Amino acid sequence: MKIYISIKILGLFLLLFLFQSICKGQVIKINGVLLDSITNEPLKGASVVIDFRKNEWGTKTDEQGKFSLTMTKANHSISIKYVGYVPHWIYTNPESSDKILTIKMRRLENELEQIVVTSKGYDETIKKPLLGVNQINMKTLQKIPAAFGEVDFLRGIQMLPGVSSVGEASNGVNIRGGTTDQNLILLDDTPIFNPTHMFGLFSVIPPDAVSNLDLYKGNVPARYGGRAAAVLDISMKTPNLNNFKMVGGVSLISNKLLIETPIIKDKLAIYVAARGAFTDFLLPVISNGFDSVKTTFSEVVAKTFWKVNPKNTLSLMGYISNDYFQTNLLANLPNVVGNTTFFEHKTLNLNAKWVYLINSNLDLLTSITSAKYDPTIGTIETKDKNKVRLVSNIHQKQARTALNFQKEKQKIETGLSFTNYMISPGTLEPGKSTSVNYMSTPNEYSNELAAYIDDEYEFSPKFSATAGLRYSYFMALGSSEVRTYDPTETRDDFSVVSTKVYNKGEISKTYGGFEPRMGLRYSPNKNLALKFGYNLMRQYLQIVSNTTTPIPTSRWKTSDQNIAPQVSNLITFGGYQTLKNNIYEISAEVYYRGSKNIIDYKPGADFLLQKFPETQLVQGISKSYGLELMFSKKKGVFSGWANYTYARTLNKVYATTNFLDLVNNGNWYNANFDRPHNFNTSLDFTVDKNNSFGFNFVMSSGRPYSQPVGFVSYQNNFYPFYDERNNERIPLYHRFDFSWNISNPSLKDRDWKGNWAFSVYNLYGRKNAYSVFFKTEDGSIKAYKLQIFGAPIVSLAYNFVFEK
Amino acid sequence: MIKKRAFFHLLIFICGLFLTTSCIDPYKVSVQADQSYLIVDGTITNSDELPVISIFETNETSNFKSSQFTSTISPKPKDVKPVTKSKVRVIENETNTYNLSEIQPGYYQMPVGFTGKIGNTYKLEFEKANGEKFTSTSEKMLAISRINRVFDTFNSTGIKDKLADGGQISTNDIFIDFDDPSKEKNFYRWKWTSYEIQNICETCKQGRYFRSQSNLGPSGECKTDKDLETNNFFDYLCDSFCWDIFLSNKLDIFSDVYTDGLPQKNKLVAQIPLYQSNPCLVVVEQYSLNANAYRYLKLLNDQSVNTGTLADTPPAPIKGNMSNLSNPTQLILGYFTASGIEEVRYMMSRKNSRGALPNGIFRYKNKRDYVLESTSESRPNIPLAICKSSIFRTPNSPKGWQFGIQ
Repeated sequence: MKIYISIKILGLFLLLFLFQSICKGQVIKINGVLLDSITNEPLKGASVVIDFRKNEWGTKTDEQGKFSLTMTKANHSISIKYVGYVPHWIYTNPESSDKILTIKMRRLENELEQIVVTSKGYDETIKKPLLGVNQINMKTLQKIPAAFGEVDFLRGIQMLPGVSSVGEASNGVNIRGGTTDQNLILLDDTPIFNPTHMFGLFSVIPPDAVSNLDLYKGNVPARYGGRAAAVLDISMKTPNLNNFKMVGGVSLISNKLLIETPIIKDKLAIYVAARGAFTDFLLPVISNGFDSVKTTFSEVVAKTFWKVNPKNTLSLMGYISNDYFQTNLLANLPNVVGNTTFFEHKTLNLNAKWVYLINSNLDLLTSITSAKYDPTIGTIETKDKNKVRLVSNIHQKQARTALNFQKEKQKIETGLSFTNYMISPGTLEPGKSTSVNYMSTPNEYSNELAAYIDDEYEFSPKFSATAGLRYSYFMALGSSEVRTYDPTETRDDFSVVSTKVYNKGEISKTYGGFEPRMGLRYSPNKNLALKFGYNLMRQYLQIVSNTTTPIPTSRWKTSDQNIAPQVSNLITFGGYQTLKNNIYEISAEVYYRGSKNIIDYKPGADFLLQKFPETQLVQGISKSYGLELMFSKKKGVFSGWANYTYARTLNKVYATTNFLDLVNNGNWYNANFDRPHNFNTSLDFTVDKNNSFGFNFVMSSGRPYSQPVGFVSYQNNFYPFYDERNNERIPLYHRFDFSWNISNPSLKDRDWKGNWAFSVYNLYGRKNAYSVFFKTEDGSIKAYKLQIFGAPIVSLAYNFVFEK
Repeated sequence: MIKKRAFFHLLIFICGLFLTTSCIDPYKVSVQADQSYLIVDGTITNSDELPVISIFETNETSNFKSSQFTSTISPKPKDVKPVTKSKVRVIENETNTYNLSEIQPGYYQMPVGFTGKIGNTYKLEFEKANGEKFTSTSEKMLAISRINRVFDTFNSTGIKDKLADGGQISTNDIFIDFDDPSKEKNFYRWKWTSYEIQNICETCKQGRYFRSQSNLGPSGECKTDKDLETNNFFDYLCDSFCWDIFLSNKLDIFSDVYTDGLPQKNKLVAQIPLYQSNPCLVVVEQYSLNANAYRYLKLLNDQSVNTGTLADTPPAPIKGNMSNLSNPTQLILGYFTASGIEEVRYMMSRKNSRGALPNGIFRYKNKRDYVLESTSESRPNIPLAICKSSIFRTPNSPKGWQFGIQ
């Protein structure tokens, strides 16, 4: 019996061998384009995998949704998968000839099967040598219960392991122990310097215009650089060349509208998406603390796409964001006699991108980018209501070109980039004031050059690797005044040894170095993968701030002679197992990140109009480590995920002889955002075609705060006094959210489709502390906790889509 | 259609109205001290009053707990103890040495006849009874600019006050104009003192007031009378004019970093609680600070008053300018400095104010009207009470007080 089977197998092998020999040289080519079945929008980045059960290699669709496959003439099954769409299969046999296909993918939203969590593409968690990568689909994000019903990518990604923040008013997120400014946030290649509106309450991206969002918290491809922790790459939709579409919504906070229209059919199209919030009169209702707050915000994105010819495409993107916030909840502009503080900030980002398809395996991408961010802090003078402004801005210009080569088992990307930074740290504009002087801090200039190459290669179905190398070179430029300090003393006006003046354009200091990136994957079987990743990243531009979370007006500072760039090394191991035809996935990742030259501030640091911010700073090292466990169910009536993260982040300042510069006497101390235990779960329950329910539960350790070591009577009052930084923790954070999405309640298939989203954020009204602080008042001291959302937040939003 | 849309809008707003709740809640803590810290404080000025330096130590076993109901942390007197029998001296311009004498435990006063001078430097040195030696940095007394104008406005919202109904008391807000000198860094601090007329000088609980005469002069005291109810109060009118003294307890500081050389207008320097409608005297003192003293006070303020914002500066130890010669890393609280003073005495009529009663201070502070003891056969003459001089009360007409202002 056994012998018989062996012979049979041997025979089969022989046959196969024979067959393969015969067929050698006989190839079939399949060219395809992938479109949304309704909108005809090209689907970029869909995975095309040949012989899913056997060879397991594949490709991805390009910007226009196109793909090209070459394979031996044989029986093949080709799977085409795209997040949020029903998979499509193509079968070939030895007789098949070359094919040119247009594949219309049906959206999943009308199917019962749901895909909620998507760890990068199809079963890429298993197949890709990259680890720590999450692709967040807008559909997923829209279903997560959100505060005020505003779809918010920053809150959404906090449901993933390894992403946290200091709290609900945090101006950004902390990814694997990185500070908020260590994350590179890109909106169609343009950097976002301030990701939130209203001091962290809402994020700045109009949700309807977003195509997808890639979060790289482990392996970061070599094309990304300039930040030390993670990359959040948000790509905007490509305008549809054929159909008119209007998408909009009304919610308690904001109103939004997207209009998309072809200008020349099949050639040129444009969309404009806008969102605005002018409902600040409702804020006192939300909380008594907001009664003095006046706030408005808005953002507009416009994008055009021009298909010049089948080989060339051009896209232009413009993004504007505006904020006005008047409050007594933040410290005012000190030393100007006034009673009201206001903040104004605006962003203007522009991007032009040209893609030249050299052949089906090779394309050239060239883009130029300009990103400008202008934050202003101001005071309204008591006497004549004149506005005194402290304006600042950062302007980044970048040119980038990249060559992408894609073959069956190999993908190479190589490119060059040139970045120019111009920072105006601050100008005090007195307006009509007779009491305030005009003052200005000199502009700072610098350039950053980078060259990179990334190679992804599949050695065998079991083993693949990616190797990347980036070289970055940074030049701090004049005109500037650069001080040299006595290294044995604290840096201040008195320890200056010499001052050198550099002329405009003269290089005052350079930094540079290689940034290796590496990822390895080993799959003992098709459902299991083990991965290893290593990254080195250098950061030359950072926020210098002395607050718990940087405020929108926090100062950006490029490296110079006295502020060395931050360098971060990250090592990650991960194991991934899928179960039951990829319905379930279990993963575990451990990481260790060591950073040098991290920035912290001296006690009492003040960066406003500070010509020499190095006198206010200390640098040091940071270590973060963690374990992230995730379980997800990707399909079915019930889908969702649960994850647990154990993560620590500790900082230590460099040894110095001056003990005043030592934070916590030079010992390790908890970072502001160090929250060891985190548990998140998000569930989606699809009842029928029209109704689905979302549930979130979040729990995490309280973040550290500094508790006084005693209280003293001083100058007719009592004051707390402190010794160690971050020596206590605020109470445990937990929250439950609920949402009910009703899509197309009329149940009719019309051009106009409306849907309602009803959500309750913080359902059981947990009064989660955002901070704990001590206040001297009325002859005694009180400890308080500040809550951002201390009650359930019920909201209803109406969204619609109109298509012709 | 329009109706339907309006309905949706209404629905959206109704759903948006949820339980309102306070953004800020008291938080209970318990802080156990584990070491003792030295607190040194004092300012040498150019005024006539003799400067006093205080030297105290915190108790290393103190426990600070939020109270049950109000969640306040009120440090107790035993949480600090005076550092007595120290040898304390102030050195002027690194040459003249003044030895200070201990007038009360922990309080050391400059010798009689001393007046600080603008431009001189001052340094504090002391040796504790156990031989430990401490020294301050050298502090220069800087000139202070003049106050050009003082005016007040009535502020009906006022400030927080524990005793007020609704927690707020109306205030008389005092503003000043001054000129900042150009081409020099100037740092300012303001303090105020107010004098309010007080009619009731003594209150006896379950007792009566008796006057006596001794070699030391007239005196008076309450004597318990068991025949009275335990919660019986008798209040006694003052035998002379009497002023209650109120001191500012806010750290009000300013730097001319953005305003160098320009006239400053409408700077709020005092908010005087409207306890009563009577005129009162407000003394506004404008101090000069040097850069380090300003930094110290600013940090102290930032960590205790300007807190609770969306983006606080996390607190940190604040090092003053005293150091232990044998242990320079020891954290010493408090600050020794020198300041020039410009003083304005402002008699405020309060004609612009509303909502307060004449002679209402007693009622405001005690939450009841005063009850005078009525005459009886055994007490045909009810004595008037002495206006006892203290840091909170004086029978002496304060300098600048104008009688007859109504």
